[in-house]
Amino acid sequence: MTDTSTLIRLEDVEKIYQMGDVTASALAGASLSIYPKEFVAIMGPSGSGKSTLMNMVGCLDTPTGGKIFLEQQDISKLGESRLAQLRGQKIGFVFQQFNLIGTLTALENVALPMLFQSVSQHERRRRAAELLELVDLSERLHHRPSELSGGQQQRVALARALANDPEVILADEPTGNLDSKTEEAIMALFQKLNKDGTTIIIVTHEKTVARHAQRIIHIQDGVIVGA
Amino acid sequence: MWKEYGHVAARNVRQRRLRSWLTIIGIVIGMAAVVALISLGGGLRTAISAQFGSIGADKITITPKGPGFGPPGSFSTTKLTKDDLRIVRQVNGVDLAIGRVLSPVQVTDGEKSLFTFAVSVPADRESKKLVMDSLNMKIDRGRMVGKGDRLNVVVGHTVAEEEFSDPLQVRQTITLQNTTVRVVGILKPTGNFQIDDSIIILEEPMRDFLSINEREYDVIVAQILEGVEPSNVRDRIARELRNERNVEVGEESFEVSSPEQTIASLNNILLVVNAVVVGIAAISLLVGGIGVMNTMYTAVLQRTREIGVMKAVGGTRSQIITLFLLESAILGAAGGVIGVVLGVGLSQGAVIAGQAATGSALLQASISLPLLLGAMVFASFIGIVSGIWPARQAARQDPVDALRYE
Ligand SMILES: Nc1ncnc2c1ncn2[C@@H]1O[C@H](COP(=O)(O)OP(=O)(O)OP(=O)(O)O)[C@@H](O)[C@H]1O
Ligand SMILES: [Mg+2]
Repeated sequence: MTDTSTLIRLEDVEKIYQMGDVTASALAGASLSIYPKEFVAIMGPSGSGKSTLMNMVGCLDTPTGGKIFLEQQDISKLGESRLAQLRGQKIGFVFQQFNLIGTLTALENVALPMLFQSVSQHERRRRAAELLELVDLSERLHHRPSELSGGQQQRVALARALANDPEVILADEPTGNLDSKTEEAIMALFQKLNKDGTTIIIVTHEKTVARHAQRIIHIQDGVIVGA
Repeated sequence: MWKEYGHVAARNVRQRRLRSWLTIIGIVIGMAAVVALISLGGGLRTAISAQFGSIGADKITITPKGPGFGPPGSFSTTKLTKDDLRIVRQVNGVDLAIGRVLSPVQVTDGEKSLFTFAVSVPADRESKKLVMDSLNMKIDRGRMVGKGDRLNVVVGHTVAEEEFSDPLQVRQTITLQNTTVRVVGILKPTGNFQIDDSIIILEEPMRDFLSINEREYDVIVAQILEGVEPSNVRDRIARELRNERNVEVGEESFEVSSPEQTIASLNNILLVVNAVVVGIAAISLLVGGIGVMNTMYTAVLQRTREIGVMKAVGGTRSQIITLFLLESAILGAAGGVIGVVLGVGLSQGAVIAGQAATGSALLQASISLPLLLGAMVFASFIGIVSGIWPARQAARQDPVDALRYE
């Protein structure tokens, strides 16, 4: 349990929602470890707590019980602005709904996380263009999300997730809105990134997606049932 | 960094073009009113003091109070007389008093004939100076009329420059009624369009040429001794004249006024007008501010998901507040810029309209850089203040909820 080589470690993490008199437990004592450069898939039935788990790991949400270590630092009790900084510096998110900002171009969307880290404009544009090249979108730098296909939007989102060179990429059903051919292309990209040394945690229902991972973690009713 | 935030904020403002325009209307109207008012108000005060400043507060004017309105000498019933002048001269505190005659007169330069006013001046040097000072008369070209100038006249600036097809020249002859006289001087613009449109002539020849009763005056002007309170002298003159005519207070057929009184009442009117316009402007700015607040709050709701994304990629509360505040500041500043332009346009329009209506450049707009900059800063300030609440609302969103928002 004092393994210093873990990137992310959860100890009996609980998330209990209070709704009036009723309590709902999204996570009921989940423990797991993720190591650097791993490619992990999290699988489980709907409502089992996958998204909740991802939000905890991604510093978007705080647990009601237990501890979460990111690079040996306990983040379960950190304040809002410290969490925001950690998200910006160490985490890259990829969402099922892509979640690009509609008024910004592909380049500006990718540059946005760097804006919040006070990276100079010159460096932001350079790196954003480089990342869009990496996801094979150098022809679409100045397109708005509405002018891109679903697969292209998700590649922009991937490039954005990489913007601040994060420790880990968290992807919650990244191919949920894509057809199977596009899914393959996106998964190939994840694999390539992983090969280049990026830690990836992916939530999915699809076996076709999970088979790209080195390890599959199963979750049910808020507890890890198999890793 | 600010430039980049500004860029993102400006992008959002431009994105909802129509709504942004509608949002800033209140601020535009408010700022336009403020700018027009302040520039014209300053101009009006400048004009008023220019009009009266040279006269000084040490002169008292007595005019007949007629039943009708109109320029002195036209419709008044009870004229002032040489007896009145004698009484005024005897009043304690009066240094010097003179009478003036005004009359419509037909003037021709041989080609064109028109009606204007003849204004008398006394012949002796000291009295003449009193008249010239009280009417702000200054010689532009030639000289003033003086003792012995029976057939010589001075013409006002408008008469000389605008009334005839060829401007009148010094040494040129013109005809007053049936008498040919020579122009020996031309006045500078006085700021009083009636004087600018007058012929200035010595009192005695004027009475002869225009067959004016030699006992009657249209205006009496009194110079007060130094160190005496003008209002006291004004009251004494009024009392003496009432005694002479045997009338009670309130029944007078004459009016005694000092310039300070006139300036004070004009300034009072200005103050009231200012207060009304400032009130309207304040309401309109308030409504404008609420409009910005409403728009920003709607934007926060509409962009809830976007706020979630910004938080997910590392945006802190203060960074998100900054972005939204910049957006509302841009709205305020845009309203300010357009309002200032409109306000300057309005005041220039008023100047032109005033010029067309009165024929003189009496009303001037005084537009200063501090006023314009101040207006824009103030408008941006309104935008920022109106944006504080929505921006905080945005920054306080829970990222997980915001990302799930449909
Ligand atoms: N804000 C909330 N308030 C109350 N209950 C919640 C809240 N968020 C999640 N839950 C509950 O927590 C449980 C886990 O939710 P979560 O979104 O993590 O599931 P999931 O595994 O991601 O499901 P899916 O595969 O459908 O996305 C669910 O039962 C859900 O109803
Ligand atoms: Mg989920």
